[in-house]
Amino acid sequence: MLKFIFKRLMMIIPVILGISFIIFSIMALTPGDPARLMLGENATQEDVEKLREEMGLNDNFVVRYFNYMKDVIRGDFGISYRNRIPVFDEVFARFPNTLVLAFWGISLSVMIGVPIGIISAVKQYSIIDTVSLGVALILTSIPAFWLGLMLILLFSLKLDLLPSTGVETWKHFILPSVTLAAGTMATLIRMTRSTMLEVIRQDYIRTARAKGATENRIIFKHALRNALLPVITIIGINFGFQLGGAMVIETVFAMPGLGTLMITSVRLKDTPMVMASVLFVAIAVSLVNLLVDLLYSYIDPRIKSQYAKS
Amino acid sequence: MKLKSIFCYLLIFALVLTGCSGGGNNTSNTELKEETGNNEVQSDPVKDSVVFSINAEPSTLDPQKGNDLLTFMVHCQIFDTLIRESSDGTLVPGIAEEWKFSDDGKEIVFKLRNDVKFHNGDQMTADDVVFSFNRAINSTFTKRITGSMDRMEKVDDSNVKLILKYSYGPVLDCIATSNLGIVSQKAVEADEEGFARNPVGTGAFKFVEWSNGEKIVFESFDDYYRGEANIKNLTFKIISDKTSAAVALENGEVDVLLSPAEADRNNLIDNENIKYYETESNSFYFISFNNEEGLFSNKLLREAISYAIDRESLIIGALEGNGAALESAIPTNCFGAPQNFKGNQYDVEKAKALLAEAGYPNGLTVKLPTLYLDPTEVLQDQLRQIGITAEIEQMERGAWLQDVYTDNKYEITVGSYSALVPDADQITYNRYHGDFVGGGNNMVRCNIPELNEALDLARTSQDPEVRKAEYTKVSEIIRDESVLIPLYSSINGIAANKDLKGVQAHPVQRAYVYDYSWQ
Amino acid sequence: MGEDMVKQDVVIKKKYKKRSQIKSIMFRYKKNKLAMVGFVMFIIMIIIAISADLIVDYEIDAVTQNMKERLQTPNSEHVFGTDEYGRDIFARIIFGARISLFVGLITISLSLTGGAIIGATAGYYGGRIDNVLMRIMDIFLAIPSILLAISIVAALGTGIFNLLLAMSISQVPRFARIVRSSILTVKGQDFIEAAKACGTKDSRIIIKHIIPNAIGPIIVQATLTMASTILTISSLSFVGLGIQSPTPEWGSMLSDGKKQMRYYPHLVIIPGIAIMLAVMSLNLIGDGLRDALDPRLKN
Repeated sequence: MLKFIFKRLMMIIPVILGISFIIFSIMALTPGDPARLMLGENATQEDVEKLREEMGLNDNFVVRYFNYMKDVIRGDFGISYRNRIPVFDEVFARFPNTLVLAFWGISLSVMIGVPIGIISAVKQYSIIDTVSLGVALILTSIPAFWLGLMLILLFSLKLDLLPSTGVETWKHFILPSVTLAAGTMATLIRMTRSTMLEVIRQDYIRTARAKGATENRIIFKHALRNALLPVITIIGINFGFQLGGAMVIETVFAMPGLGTLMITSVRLKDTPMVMASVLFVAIAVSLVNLLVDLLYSYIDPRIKSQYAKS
Repeated sequence: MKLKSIFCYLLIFALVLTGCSGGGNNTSNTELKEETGNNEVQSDPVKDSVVFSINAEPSTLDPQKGNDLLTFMVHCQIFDTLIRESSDGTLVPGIAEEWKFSDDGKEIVFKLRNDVKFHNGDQMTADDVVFSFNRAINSTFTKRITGSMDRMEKVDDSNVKLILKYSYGPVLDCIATSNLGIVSQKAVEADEEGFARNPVGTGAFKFVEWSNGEKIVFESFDDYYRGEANIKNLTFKIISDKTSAAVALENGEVDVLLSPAEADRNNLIDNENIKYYETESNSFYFISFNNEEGLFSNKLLREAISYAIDRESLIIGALEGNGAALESAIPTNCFGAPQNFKGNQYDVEKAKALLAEAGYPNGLTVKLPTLYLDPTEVLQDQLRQIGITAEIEQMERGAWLQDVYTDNKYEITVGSYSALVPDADQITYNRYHGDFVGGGNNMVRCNIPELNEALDLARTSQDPEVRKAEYTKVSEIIRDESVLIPLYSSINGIAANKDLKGVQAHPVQRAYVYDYSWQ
Repeated sequence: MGEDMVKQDVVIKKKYKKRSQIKSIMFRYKKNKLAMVGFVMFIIMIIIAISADLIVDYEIDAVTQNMKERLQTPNSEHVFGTDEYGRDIFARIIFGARISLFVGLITISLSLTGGAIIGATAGYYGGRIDNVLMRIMDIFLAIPSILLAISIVAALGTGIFNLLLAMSISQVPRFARIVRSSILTVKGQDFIEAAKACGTKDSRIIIKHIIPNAIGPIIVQATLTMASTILTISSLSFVGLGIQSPTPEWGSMLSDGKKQMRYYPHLVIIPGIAIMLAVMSLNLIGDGLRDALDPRLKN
């Protein structure tokens, strides 16, 4: 088992390398000179050239990429082009906000979506079923940022119940988390419902019923376990999207997280900041995927043995 | 069941995380909230905190690296200058008690106070002043302020001498800006890069902490040479969305809001608990042409556009009507701005005639890069009326600074200039003088001998009347050659809790929290 | 002689199978009421987009600014009100449909082409090539598509071509997977070996077997891609990196309206509803198709 975990951890590396290379290439193509940005509009051309040499900006692209990755391995993510502070400090300070947001996004979507999906499946064709499917449909059809805007309009501007920007208190996380959860919630409702429906039709459920087990027991003990497997996969896959979605939502709610940092940094061509943010996200997503796979094996002993064998 | 327990663990984990990141910053804010919130309901005991909302982070807390108006405003609270701007805009002694010019105007001797202390307890010495000035003169960020200065020398422990490269009219105003704030030589030399996040100055407020993207906290300096401030705790809260900031002001979550959005202006003015202050700014928006190369090296074409501009519509579209039309290239609040100056007036027919004369009877298409979408959209429509199709390219600041501002790879653009110091030289010399074409200065790429002469004379003359006359000439030449078309000045606003006294709007968006007090 | 007869048999059988397959798919789709609603909504959208010029005038209504008429709430003269530049919102919504459809279609074409080439190569040659190509696809899938799009647009500029490029790149992996799995499914089956043994050319195999197999999931993915493109474009425009003014795109209408949202909510509510209806119709069609194609639901 440990061998399996180790192997998976190793596999994260090529993915990270690939992502970092792609993003680095894109950033290198962007117009705009970071040295001039750092020195200001009134700096002379000579000053700018001097700084370019210092920063190694005149080296060729591949050399720059290698130098960068070399530093990263030692833990040095470089200095921000924008305000000359160590990149790691800023990213590390902001990362928790985004993580918490993504976490609550997933948690809310699971806590609300899965039960609704189950109820929908159990009471198929009832009013609850129709309403939840309708809600799910609407939620997948709207842009997340629009939902955020509507929530702000209603709860912040008109009703003045919840704050619309910042991250001070837990209250500040409510609207953004709900917005983020909406999309995944819809998917979970539908997925859970359809897998439950499949499972309920299976023979062993019929057997359990015939044997006289109560409906509740059937659902919780037998059906749920099997139905949840694909659902857990979705949660895992979606974590990447959660982090991506968190970026746009942070913009809507003006939260100081990794997302707003990334967008500002891409615009200002602050390559070190962008790279560090992307790397953080990539590592986080990969680790979550690994966690999900481990969770899988806890739930389904067949898979556990498969992993252990490899 | 296993699933359930896993679930519970995840939930607890999430709650803990939220508590850590969100709540950690919670404490200082709830204290402030209790003190400053809900003015209508309770009357709080002696209020002495101010929460000041700004819409972006300052780029640095190092005064010699500051580059934009917002950063300067924050620096004003931390650092002092030799000469100080008083609340009515006049210049009064600051750290220097008095000063004397040499006859040719190229040297100034300052006599320093001896009771100024730094935030770390050190006494401020003449060495610190010399160090700070020379640091500023050598910095690449401060050229607009220190361009006329050569070096600062120590005369003795109480006197310093500033040597200029040429006699410069607005030099005293420059000395009063935060780029020349006095820093502690010891602190800077101990940690040059870190100083930007951990400043040590002599100003009314000393730095406490900076939470990235959220807030910057200061507390009053008890050894301040003018006496400790009325406000003991100052927090700059960063709220990038202006509508939310206005809501925060209405809720009492913040006490002051700098530059409210135009859309919220009427609402804030009508609000009984809020007072709204405004003044015409020293910034203006303009249409700039590349006079040297490309389509607009043709003067007729530039002139045609100058007749196609309806400034009123621009102001409505860009600023909700909250601006002042500007027809001379010098904002009204600057020394040297000509009175009642008239530019080319709105005349669509004349514009079309000139366009035809320029060789484009059927109109043409141009690329229009810009940083400012709102006025540019309105402009695009006005150009359409005379047959010019403008393709707007909204650029990021970095890209615009590089391609348009520095390399001048453009034909026409919409931009803005600010005069950091209320003097025409600041906003004309580098911008229109033939010696400064390109490289981030003269982006119109013009080189007109009469204009160069007028600018030189206006800069160095020690006679205010001569300077004013020359600047009128400058405005006329710019208009007649349609070098650049000034559009409008924005109006700087600041909104605050009605019980907070001492708040003022400022042409360059400065704010002196030292003057604030709660009623 | 015997060979010819076998070939003929196979051909006849296949023709018969195919026709009834399509028919039965359509039949199942029509039975699904929601799917039909989606279909009708989509057709309406197409009709509106095509006939936009007949209903409102682009120049006068959607683009020209009219400061005196700005910020009107819905009234008899302007059905959806006017925006902050005095432009008629109804006209802009209608033309916005055209843009959304256009961008969606081009994106589908580009990403389908790219994905098909990659997926086909991977599936057909298998082995190392397959591995490498799929790893690369995985990497692209691992990057949040918004970030990828933002990076590409920030790097290359905001022209419409760059925008389409950015959108297509993020969708290529999905099409690649579908094409590849169709090829793999078919490759493994016995009758392919038989056909090959008979001397059937590769191209014939592709046309007769692989394509019919793949078309279903491809169309489903196409509707999903179109839906996701509309959403992504509006997000990009919202952040300022999408379609530029004065072109009336729904996302940039939202971005413009945000400033006035507190006082004139209709500026923000109406374009959002337009996006919702468009995307919903596509989702319904996609769902309906997926259900119709799924033989397990045949009961």
